[in-house]
Amino acid sequence: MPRQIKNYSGFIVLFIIFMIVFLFLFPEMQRRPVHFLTRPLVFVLSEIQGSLTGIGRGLGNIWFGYINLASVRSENERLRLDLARLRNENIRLQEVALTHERLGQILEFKKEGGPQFLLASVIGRDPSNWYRTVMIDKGEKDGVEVEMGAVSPHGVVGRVIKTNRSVSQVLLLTDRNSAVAGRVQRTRDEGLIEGTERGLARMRYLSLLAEARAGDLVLTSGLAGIFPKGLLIGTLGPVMKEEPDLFQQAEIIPSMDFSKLEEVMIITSLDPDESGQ
Amino acid sequence: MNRWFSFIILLFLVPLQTTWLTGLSLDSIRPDLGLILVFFVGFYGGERQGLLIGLLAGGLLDLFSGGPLGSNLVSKALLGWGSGVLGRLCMNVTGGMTMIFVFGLSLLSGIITYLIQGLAMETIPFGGVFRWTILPEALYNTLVAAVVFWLGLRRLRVRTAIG
Repeated sequence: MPRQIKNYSGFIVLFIIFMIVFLFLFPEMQRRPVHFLTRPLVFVLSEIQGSLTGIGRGLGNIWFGYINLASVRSENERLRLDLARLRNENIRLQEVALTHERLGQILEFKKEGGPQFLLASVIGRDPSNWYRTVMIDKGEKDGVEVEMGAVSPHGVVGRVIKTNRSVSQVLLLTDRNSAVAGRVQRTRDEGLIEGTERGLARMRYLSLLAEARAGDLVLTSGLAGIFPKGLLIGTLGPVMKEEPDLFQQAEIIPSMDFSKLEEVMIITSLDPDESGQ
Repeated sequence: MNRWFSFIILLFLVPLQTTWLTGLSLDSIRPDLGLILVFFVGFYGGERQGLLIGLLAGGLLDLFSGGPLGSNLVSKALLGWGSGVLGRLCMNVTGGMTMIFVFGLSLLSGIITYLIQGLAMETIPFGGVFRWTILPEALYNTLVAAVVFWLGLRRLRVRTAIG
């Protein structure tokens, strides 16, 4: 008998583990916080994640420096060293200039008034191909909360879905679980902007009477209370009738390339007068 | 596999998958390093090791994923266990066969993830998910697993045979 139990012990352990995990998978359990388990792990891994992002950017600069250096073989050693130094300096300055340009755009955006923002850097992306999320370097200690909107000077980025003490996760506009209320700028038609399986976006539930057409700009309608009214979402593609012809829908070309996102602004308050950070 | 080596690989798995690996994206699809790791550990180390590494890797990946907590944990653990069973049943398989196993298990893992997502979140049309996520990811995983296999594991096996 004990031998039989030993033979089946692996299956028993496996069964118990899966029962526990499946319990966690139910929506009610998903809503319950398990921070006491996840916080320390997320903290350690996000530190490594941040370091790797920094190293990756540094290595990228060195790699481009090396590529550039390869084209000056005929120069003598001193000139090559000088050139390499100057090139590296140049790349570094270009990087600084690009960062200044991006931050300048953000500053201009903030000066225009409107909501209170918190600037955050992207330190990682979703580990799976199933979801479109980014990890940012600001968390609960900085005032970030779940369901806060994330934007960039180019338009809407997404919304915060998970927070930890020092990092948070932002669900991008192009994720299939994302939904943002939008409005066509020219015709004022309203609809819902959802992500697609391909990592793009589409506008759904456009009225059959809507006269929107390809090329029209789509902006936030401000109805859901996460984003202020009038932020750019993207440009409308060809408008088609939805089955069974109750509404129209159209693909949206997002206003930015989400794969190149480096900084985002978290909307901490929609009230412009409230003291933000 | 050495426990410390496994621990270090696991510790760097998530940060690597979420940072540097994004540079390898083809049409927004990246290889799943966790899946490849769990497959090889299970296939060569047995069901128990595969299951354990699957649970750990899946659990860590879940913490950084936008999906429901537990989806990677279940799919990776099942994959590790399944790889172990395959490794025990199929002796002296060729590299080509190993890659077919990777492809098949990647598809299976994708389908399990789809079912779990349907359980925890809303159901999405299977056709689009299969065409744009499950199939390209399985193909990419197979390609990367082939590179890992030929570069690393074959050399290790030759060295072991000589030793």
